[in-house]
Amino acid sequence: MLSEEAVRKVARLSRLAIDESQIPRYADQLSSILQHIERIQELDVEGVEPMAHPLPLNNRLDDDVPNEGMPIEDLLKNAPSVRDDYISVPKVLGEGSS
Amino acid sequence: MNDVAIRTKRLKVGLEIHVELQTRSKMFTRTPNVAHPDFEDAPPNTLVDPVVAALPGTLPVMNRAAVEMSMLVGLALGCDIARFSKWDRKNYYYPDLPKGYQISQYDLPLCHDGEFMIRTDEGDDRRIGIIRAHLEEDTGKLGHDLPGGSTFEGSLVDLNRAGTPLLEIVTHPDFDRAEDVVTFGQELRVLCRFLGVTQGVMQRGHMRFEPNINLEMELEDGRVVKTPIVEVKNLNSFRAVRGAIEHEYDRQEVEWRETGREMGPGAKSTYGWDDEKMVTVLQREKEDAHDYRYFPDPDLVPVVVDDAWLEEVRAQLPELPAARRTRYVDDFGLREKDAVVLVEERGLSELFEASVATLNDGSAVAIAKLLLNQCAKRANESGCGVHQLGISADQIAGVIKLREADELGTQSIDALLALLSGSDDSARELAEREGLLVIVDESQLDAWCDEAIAANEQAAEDVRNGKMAAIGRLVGHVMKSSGGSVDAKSVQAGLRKKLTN
Amino acid sequence: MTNAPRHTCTEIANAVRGGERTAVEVIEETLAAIDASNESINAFREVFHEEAMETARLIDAKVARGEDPGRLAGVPVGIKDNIATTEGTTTCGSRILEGYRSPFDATVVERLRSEGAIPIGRTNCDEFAMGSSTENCAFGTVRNPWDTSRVPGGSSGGSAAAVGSGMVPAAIGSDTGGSIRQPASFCGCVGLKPTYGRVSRYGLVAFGSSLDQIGPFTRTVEDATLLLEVMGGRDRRDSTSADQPIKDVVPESNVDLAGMRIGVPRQYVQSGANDPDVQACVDDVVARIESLGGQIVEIDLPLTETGISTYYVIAPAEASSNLARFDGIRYGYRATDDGSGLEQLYARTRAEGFGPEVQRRVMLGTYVLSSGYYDAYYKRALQVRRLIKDEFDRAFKSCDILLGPTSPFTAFELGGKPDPMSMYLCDVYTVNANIAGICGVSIPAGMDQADADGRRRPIGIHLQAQAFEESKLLGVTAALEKVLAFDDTLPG
Repeated sequence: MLSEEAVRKVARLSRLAIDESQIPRYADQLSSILQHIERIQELDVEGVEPMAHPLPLNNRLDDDVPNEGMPIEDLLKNAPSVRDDYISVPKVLGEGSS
Repeated sequence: MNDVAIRTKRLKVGLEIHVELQTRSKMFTRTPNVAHPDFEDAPPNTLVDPVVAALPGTLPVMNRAAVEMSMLVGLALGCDIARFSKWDRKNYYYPDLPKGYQISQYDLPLCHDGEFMIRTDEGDDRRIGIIRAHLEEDTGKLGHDLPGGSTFEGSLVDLNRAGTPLLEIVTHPDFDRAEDVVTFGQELRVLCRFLGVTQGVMQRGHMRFEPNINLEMELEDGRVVKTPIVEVKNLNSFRAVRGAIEHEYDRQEVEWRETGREMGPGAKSTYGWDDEKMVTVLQREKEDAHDYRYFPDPDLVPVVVDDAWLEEVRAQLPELPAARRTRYVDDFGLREKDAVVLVEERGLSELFEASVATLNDGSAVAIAKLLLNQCAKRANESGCGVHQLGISADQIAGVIKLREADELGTQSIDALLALLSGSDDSARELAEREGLLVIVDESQLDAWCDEAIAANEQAAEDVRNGKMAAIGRLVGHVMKSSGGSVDAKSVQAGLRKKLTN
Repeated sequence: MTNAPRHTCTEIANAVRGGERTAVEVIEETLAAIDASNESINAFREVFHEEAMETARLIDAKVARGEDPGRLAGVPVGIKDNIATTEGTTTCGSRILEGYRSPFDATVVERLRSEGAIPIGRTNCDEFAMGSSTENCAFGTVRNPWDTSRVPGGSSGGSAAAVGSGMVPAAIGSDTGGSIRQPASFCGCVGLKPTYGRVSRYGLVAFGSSLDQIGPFTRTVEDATLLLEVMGGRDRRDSTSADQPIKDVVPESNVDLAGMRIGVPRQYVQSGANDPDVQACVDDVVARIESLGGQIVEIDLPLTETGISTYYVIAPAEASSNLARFDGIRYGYRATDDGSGLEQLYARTRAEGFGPEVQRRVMLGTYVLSSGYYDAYYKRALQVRRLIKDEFDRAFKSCDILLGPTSPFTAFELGGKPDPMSMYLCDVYTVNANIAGICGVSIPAGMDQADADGRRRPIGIHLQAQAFEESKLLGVTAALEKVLAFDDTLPG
């Protein structure tokens, strides 16, 4: 059901550098899982409202009172690569995301 | 490359505006917000907590103030406020996006279907339709500059801006002139500042603009060609907005002639703006860049707006700048350009109106003049707004009253304003105490006038003969003799009486 | 296994509060038990020898001063590796978080501490809670204390084994599709999944955000109730945490089974669906309930098996997004920069840091959310979700509690289910409680047949109640527990 090319594409979308030798195995396994998932197609869901949350909660709003934040050390101590007060990454081209 | 003749060429622009809201804390966590003046100069990575950094196990919590500010803008733009809106995740990978997704609103935005009227630079009124306005969170920043001025070979991540509440407003593609887009942006900025939802400092990126631009060209043979839509991202000055649209107006025609590509599915491209070269620049395209895999955020619950809440927010809407401008011109007789300046700052327009109300005698024009000239000059020197000088409406009214009664000379206004700044005393009290009042001692004034006439025979003769311009010299003489304690208008009147009988 | 006397949390807390035992004694005993048993079981990845002793000393000092040391004073609790603690590291069983130190404690950990409980160490789990056997743990598999050739269940296998083996009287885990209840049934202890929203998820590393709940592993229902009461209740830091007062979970004492309507879904006891031992155990429990005056009601839950299909759309979809933050930028493992650019860095970091099951689920989740497939998979799964919830609502109109086996089989052999799909089917009875958000508990009810080596493995009975009906659930379960009188002493 899921071709090897589809696996490559979804791996790219998921930012997973899957070794080429592993692609066929993943394609098999994912296909088998999707096969099982197909059961949901058998049901009649006409007019049924999708349920994203188990609880019918609304309006969980906080008052706009600022807290202390976290000391910068707590951020930088776990970072793989730091430069002065910044987390450093390889050079990124372009002006920013979205 | 074709050189087909084009009969008509029409520009079409839709605008996306991102407004950073100046809540005290961030959109989904209570860490201080960099868009708020109290925190705007925080050192890098100091406005961060586990939620901002997307540490494992953290969860978002909505900021009520951000929702209410957005509702306020929506109402000001004549939008319907959604009774039910929800949050969705926009998934993509980038170092300025800690969670690997941005919390936004996809199919059920908080506000939709509104409009905004602008007065173009050509004097026409144009209606721009607003499709929607929704809330989301801003990303962090990537930079390359190290303290000390050197450039880092990689990129540096600063999360201070990450999580700032962002209101995204989307217009219909109703623009066909670059200048109208600029006018709209400027008016929107005035409105948002007026509502107090943003500082609107362009250089700080408080408002960013993304025009979506294409051309509709009717060819010689009658066929209509539409060029693919180009989105120019992250313009944060009006000069850049104007420049980018004007550049695209030319570039898209050239590109069409070279490639023949027309508007169609998947043909939208993203450009950036080079502010130095004043050109748009194609950004690196990623084939999967647009599959954001939106789905409802399971960590957040929906926003349900009932009548009570809606009315509570609506009650906070002030009379909007555009309506005030019109009222100032129509009811108070102000000049359009003065009205425009008065409504740029809510505090200023409120000070103006309060002063007018205090006097209640039709001195609106004089009050406007005082505020926009001498007060503005003082405010400029002090580095603040006119309404922040510490001068009250009562005091402004007091100054005008003294002027109208000729008890205060124009030359003394600056001095009086300086004293009123931060003082609780009335204008009259202070002027009296500091000897700024014009003391009209008729016999003294009479003597000075005679003296001046005697000392300037030629000028006096000229005035007797009808050359009124010459009176200035005589007035000056009296002003000097009196040490400026008389009002120039009264001096002139007195001299004229003596010389033209 | 340990020969140390096995106490319950309630017993320990009472003894420490009453001055009969010191917290230090308790912890010394616990550490000794762990040191003796952990090597053969690998329940704990990390043990807080010094921190726990220090905390114990502080508790004893409080008692000496006459201050209230808390309702769980001196009780050592194992913490699943996907729940943030400031002590030690939080790895979620993954190489991608090896060495990561959380600057904050999960809300549940804060609340346990505030009542005098002592986090004793990090228990192993399937990587990012994805699994049903704890074989997907990057820091070694965990073995079932009853039979070390078998799995403890998963994903909270370490916590279940820690309690099942007697090393600790309590541990906490997380349940997304059965990850508390199933390992509890494999390891012979009580495992509770509260109603969705009862317990704060702040500090639980998110896997399936609309499905996850934290819950306790204990020896007794009384202990599970106590831990739930301490951990649960509204938390401002979790927008999905419910308002219902937590004290409502405490059952009325001595709930009588007589007159209770116990629903047994057809689909849970279908011929051939369960191992014969498991089926026999369920039949026995049902018979005992009837003999005590309980009313057995036949229930129809046709969507039982559809749960797996639905779950394996929703959970991976949410997971694919929740795990996007593991990108090597701000924390955790980052692959070496070979100059091939950022995209490659992300992709290699995640391919090297995540195990195969995690990669499978991330890809599955990305796929079902991707453009063109969203309606057919994700949206449809959410619609089926509502149907499953409606089905439970109808069932609970005709019964108070649902009952069945927690798992179709007892603990299987390590390596016994290499095919992912067969592993997923372990959760067939547990998964729908997460999808609907209702509460469920597994208690040990019997043992399976001895194998060639004479070893036997526990069988768990699964009870479910309507959302927010923990008091009814725990009341009935406590009554049943008394009747069953399961002996959790491990064989010599």
